[in-house]
Amino acid sequence: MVIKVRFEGPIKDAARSEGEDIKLEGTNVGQLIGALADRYGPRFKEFLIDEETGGYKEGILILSGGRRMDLDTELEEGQELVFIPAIAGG
Amino acid sequence: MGAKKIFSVDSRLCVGCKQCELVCSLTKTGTFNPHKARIRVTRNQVKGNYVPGICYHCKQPKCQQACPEDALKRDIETGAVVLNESLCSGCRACVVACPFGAVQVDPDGNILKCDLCGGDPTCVKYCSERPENSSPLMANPEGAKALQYVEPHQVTYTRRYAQL
Amino acid sequence: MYGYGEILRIDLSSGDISTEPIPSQVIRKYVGGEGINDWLLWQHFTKVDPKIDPKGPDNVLIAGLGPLGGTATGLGSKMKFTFKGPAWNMFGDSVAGGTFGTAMRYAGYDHIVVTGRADKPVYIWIDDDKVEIRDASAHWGKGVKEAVKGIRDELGDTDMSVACIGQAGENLVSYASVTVTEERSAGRTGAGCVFGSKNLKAIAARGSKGISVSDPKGYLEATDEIYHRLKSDPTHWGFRKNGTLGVVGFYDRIGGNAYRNNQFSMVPPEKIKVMLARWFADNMKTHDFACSTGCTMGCCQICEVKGHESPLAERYKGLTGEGPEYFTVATFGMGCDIPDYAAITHFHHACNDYGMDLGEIGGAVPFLMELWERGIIDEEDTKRWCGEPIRFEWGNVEAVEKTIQSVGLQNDRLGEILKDGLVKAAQNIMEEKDVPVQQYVIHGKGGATFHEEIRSFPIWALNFAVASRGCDHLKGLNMMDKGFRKDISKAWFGSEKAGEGYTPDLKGKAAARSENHTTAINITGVCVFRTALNPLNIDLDLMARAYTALTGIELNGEELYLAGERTYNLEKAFNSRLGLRREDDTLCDRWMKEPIKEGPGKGMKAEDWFDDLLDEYYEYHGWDKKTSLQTRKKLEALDMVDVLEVLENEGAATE
Repeated sequence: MVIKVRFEGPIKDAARSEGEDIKLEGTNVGQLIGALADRYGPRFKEFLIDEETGGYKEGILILSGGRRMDLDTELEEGQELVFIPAIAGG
Repeated sequence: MGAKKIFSVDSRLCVGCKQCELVCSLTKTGTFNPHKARIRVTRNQVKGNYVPGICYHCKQPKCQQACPEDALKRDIETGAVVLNESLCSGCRACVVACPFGAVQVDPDGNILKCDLCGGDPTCVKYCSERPENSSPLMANPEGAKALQYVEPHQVTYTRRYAQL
Repeated sequence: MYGYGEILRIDLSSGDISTEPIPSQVIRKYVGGEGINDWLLWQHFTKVDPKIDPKGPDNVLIAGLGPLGGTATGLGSKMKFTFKGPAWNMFGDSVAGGTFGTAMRYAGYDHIVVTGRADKPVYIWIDDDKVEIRDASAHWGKGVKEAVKGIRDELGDTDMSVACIGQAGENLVSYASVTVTEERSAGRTGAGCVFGSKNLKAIAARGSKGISVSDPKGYLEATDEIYHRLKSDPTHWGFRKNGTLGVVGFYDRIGGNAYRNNQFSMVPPEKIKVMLARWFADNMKTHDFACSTGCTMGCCQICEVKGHESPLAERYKGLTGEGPEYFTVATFGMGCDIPDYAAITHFHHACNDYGMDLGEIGGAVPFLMELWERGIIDEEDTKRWCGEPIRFEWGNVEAVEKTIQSVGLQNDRLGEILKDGLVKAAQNIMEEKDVPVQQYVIHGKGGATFHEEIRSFPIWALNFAVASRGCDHLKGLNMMDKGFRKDISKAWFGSEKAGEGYTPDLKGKAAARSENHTTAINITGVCVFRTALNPLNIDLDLMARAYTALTGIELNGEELYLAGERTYNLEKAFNSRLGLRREDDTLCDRWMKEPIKEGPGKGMKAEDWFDDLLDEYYEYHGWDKKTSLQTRKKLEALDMVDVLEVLENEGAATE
């Protein structure tokens, strides 16, 4: 299926890309990240995933329609995902 | 072994946090006191940005030439121009002679002179690492710092000073 | 004593100046910074009736910076002013970066307590042991920039740290701020008004004594660990690069922005595009910069308006200095619908120069704009109010310009209407127009206004309703529901539920614990932005370790948390003495009753879960659910029997 990915803030720097429409073999977010790491290199995955726990690093968010996607969340054809660090303040 | 390392300063990356002053005074005096730091960050009153003022350990040090007590000597190991405090009379000839204002006097009248921490400057170690393109003026890479301690051919922004 | 300075007392009525050490048992209980400020406030109001007029001479003004402030943790130095707040007539405190707090500490004073009222305008000059009250008549009536320059020239030091008020503070605008050099603002709750009410224009400080350190090697080891942890947090690069401006884009994705007086929570995409941090970095930013001593994050930015980068840039050509923060973008950019960084930056500077809380003024203009849109006010009104028929249409920069000026100078009816905050302004307008307008004021506890969508984020909503200093995000700063931080929720409560977005689950507990945690950070003197937003990264144990190395006083993370909780309870107790109860912990009608119109939180409104979460919140704090009052049991457990006695005498505590 085709998934639209968009990168924000430092994740964009890590990917060296604004995002793209990617054709995915797998079905969930974890598999998507694996596929993206193949494209953008290991730095991208290191940036997002905690090696020890296998989960997201602190503050890393993958959102769809404003809602958090976990690594095992199943994806749908044409879904748009935003990779973004969570911050607040003012 | 390559040439001796020297300071490199790029004020475009200085955020004015003065962490360098704090760790310098901590290392040298055991207190947090910018007035006792061997490095001084000053604010450009017009543009609002900050400039770290460091000792360049010049090739022909004016401070050394001016010292009547012969208290300033180059350390062969590190290349630093080092003050021998036991010889220093506190006359401040070095303070006046330095073209960069890099020799300081503390509130008690002691002369403060950078000695490169014996070849591993603490200020450089704790200088803030900046994110990619933190300074649009220079489009810096991730991790770049205002203060670097590098071999002479790696110096960029402060090269003209280092030749003095 | 390692790591600590003294308390400096200055009475402006008598001119008496004295110093005293901080009692060691007070350090043990409240650590420093906000904690000892609060203790000094409490002490003052055991001798003075807390119900006094906060604009009167009996109020007290306390400035303080915690022990880790001015040292090299790499996390910055945030000082606090504490007082009875004239803005909402309750506990008041206001925080700022800048260099003043550290200068004060280097001069040997951790806390300055100013009482009384000078009979003519004065400023205080602190130069190590020399403390003088000096004539400020030459600087009175001037904006902050000009006054600071004048004071620096007079004292012969162009780097002198100065905390200074503008015309708004002199004119007793209830939400006047204090601007701390260079351009940092102690914005909320009216610190500037307390300055003005004491005829105090500024406090200038310079110090050469420094801060002694118990264990320099151990301290640097703690700093090494902080550096290491910061680097392991992937979000920190973004924060270093964009600071709070990064929030614009993030909130856009989660429906967290408030547009046009929070009638909407999504800003049109073409407008968001030019308010993103990226736009600012590409077009206006020249440098990153650290707002306070020892902050290696350096999340602030210096900018320059060249004149061609945006539709309004020509008008503000040549403007240089600090860039705006998210709050400024939220109020002027989104609230007033002026999506133009040149204009936003100009308003940011104007508020800091007149010395007023840009949050309150940035709430006032959108409110008036909504009234205009609804046809409640028109050109006849504005002509009557300020002599010019200003049109309060969305996006009109003239309306903002005039409002800031009128409030600052207090020279017309418009300024007078807005002088005591937005809730009072709505009353004023209602009396004039005989139409109810209160429902269009976006505010929380006490009446403070705020521009962020919170109906879909119950932790933030609750924090805004209960904060000890009135509607605000900095008392219980956290990222659990806005950042979907299931990991923090799991670590704190053994359940991920507080980290699940758009639900009320566990959010009451999360709000309560966030308050204690954030206060624990504030009492140390470092900035809350990294530490409170990502408490798993820089935890309290690590901060306690740096504290112990600095002071030689044994402290662990748990004890630090407890001192934070104690401090927050002191603020609560202060408000209880003023008669604040459960019914005061509330939000405005729009947040309570109107459902969100669009975006991820569509349909959510606070009243659906508010009461249940308040119960949960009080319960977690150990306070009485019915009244919100503190219980004997809780205060005894916190070793605050002295506070309990005062409260019990006044019927402000429960069994």
